[in-house]
Amino acid sequence: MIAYLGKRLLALLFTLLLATIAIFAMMHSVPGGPFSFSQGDMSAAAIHNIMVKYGLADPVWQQYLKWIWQLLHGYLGIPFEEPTMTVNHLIASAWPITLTVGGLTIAISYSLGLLLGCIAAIKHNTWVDSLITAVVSAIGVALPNYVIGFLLIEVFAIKLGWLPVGGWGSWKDVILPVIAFSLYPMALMERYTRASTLEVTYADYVRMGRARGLSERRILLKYILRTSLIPLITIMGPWIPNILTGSIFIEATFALPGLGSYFTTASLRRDYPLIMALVLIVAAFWGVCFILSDIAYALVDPRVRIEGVSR
Amino acid sequence: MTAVGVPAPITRRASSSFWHAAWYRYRRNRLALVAGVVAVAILLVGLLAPYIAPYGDASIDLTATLAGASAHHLLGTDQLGRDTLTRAIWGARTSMTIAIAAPLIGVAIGLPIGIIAGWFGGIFDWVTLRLFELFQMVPTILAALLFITVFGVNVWKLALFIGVTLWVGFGRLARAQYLALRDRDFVQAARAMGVPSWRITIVHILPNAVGPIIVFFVQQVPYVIFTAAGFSFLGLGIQDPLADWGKMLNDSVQYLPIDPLLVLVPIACIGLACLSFSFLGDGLRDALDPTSR
Repeated sequence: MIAYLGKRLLALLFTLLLATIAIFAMMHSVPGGPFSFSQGDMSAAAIHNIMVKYGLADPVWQQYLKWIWQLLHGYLGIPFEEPTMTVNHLIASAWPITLTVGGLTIAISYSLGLLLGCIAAIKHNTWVDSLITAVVSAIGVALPNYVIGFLLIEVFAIKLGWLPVGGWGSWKDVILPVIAFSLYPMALMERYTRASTLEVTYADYVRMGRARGLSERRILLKYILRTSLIPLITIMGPWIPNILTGSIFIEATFALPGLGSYFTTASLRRDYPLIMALVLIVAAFWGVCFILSDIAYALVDPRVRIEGVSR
Repeated sequence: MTAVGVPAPITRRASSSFWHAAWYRYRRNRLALVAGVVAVAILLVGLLAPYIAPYGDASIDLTATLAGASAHHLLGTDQLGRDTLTRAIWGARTSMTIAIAAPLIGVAIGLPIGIIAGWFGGIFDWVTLRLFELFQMVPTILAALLFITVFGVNVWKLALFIGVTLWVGFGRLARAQYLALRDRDFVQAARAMGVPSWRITIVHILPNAVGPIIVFFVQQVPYVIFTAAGFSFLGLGIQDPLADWGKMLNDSVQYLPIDPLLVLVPIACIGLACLSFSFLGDGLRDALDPTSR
């Protein structure tokens, strides 16, 4: 188990290294830089001074090594756009917002999707099933979440005035983004739960259980759901880091100062330290979540074995 | 789900009867049939935009801004007096170009890599799997956003940036297909007869592997429409004078109290396109790939 974990983490570090090199090289390979747009009327000497101050005058490989060196000391640099802060501070203030919205989104969409999917599967081929499937897939699939978010703002914030238009401060600010963000994962969860539950519902061992006279409740909880929920780990697991690192579209629509909105502005302004930090954090978080979901899968499903991991 | 048709033997080389059976299964799914017709209609509208649009795509009439629906402008005009119907039709052209081109780019990169990994295995497979891991780590939308801000944007660049982020999915799928098929009897037979590798992979295996790839392709279309419109919605995507649904939405949001139609048209277009392609994808999956669900 520990050997397996060590191997995976080592591979993760290696891929992170490659990813950061690739992104660093890409950003520096194109003309233009963080200070070539905003301070247009500065003299060449002044621009050169700024470049030297932020270490941008060095060769790219030296800049990268310096960045790695600082990273190993837990320091992510100074964002060009807000030189009074450090990137560490910026991320420490932005990520909790994204995590709050994302965490609530996962809690609500996964539980609701699971519930609706189970109901639809149990009531298979009845009007309940058709209604749930049609409504959920239509609202989840038809419109992008930012359009839904915009419509929600229009109705609940502007027309009715019940909730704020956007921004971050009170608990009320959470409601609309979470609803808009939840619909798609909920629809996905409902679909997969329904499909995988149905697959098991007609399995021979379930019919066998019924023939032995087990109660429907027992069949549903112990025979059907326990088996049918396993594939959901691999399908819905990767969505967790995706949701927890935020959506640039949702955060832009609701003016949330989270990771996604910082990524957008940082990319637009070529704020190298901030871009690198955000990419690194998001990628590392995804990588760890993938490893965890593989392990969870092996723990839950006795048929799956990964080297060194036993139940 | 109970009444699954005759499961098509995917081991067999895809013959005309496979496509026959697939078409039969597809036809029985009424929702998928309607969605397919709508999807084709949207594609046609995009293709024929210059011929069916009532006005030029960038023709401005400053005497009739935000005019509302009328006989001259069936869906009204925007803040520059451009005909909304015309913009929606040209928007279909932009959106569909990206929606088809991006997955094509994904296939073009992912399929060969997946085939090499799945067919040759060994070191090729190992390297490919590491590549998958590497590219999976950076979220696709963030990668596309970074490309856009670094390299600039137009229709083809947007398709390229989104397409490049899609290749891993196609690569994984192709690899899995080739891994599953390479030891089948018909492949062994071909190999025993001395058929060269390239011919086996392309002529013998590919027709058997193409079903799930087509399904995956169509399933990517709504995602691409979402993403491309999202970038336009943020003001980072398609720029004037080109028409695009996401940009129409972005431009019209502030005029909502004056002219709701201006907002509703792009929303309806995005919704219709996404719904029709996702139901088309579901229908194709049930028809072409009946064993997976």
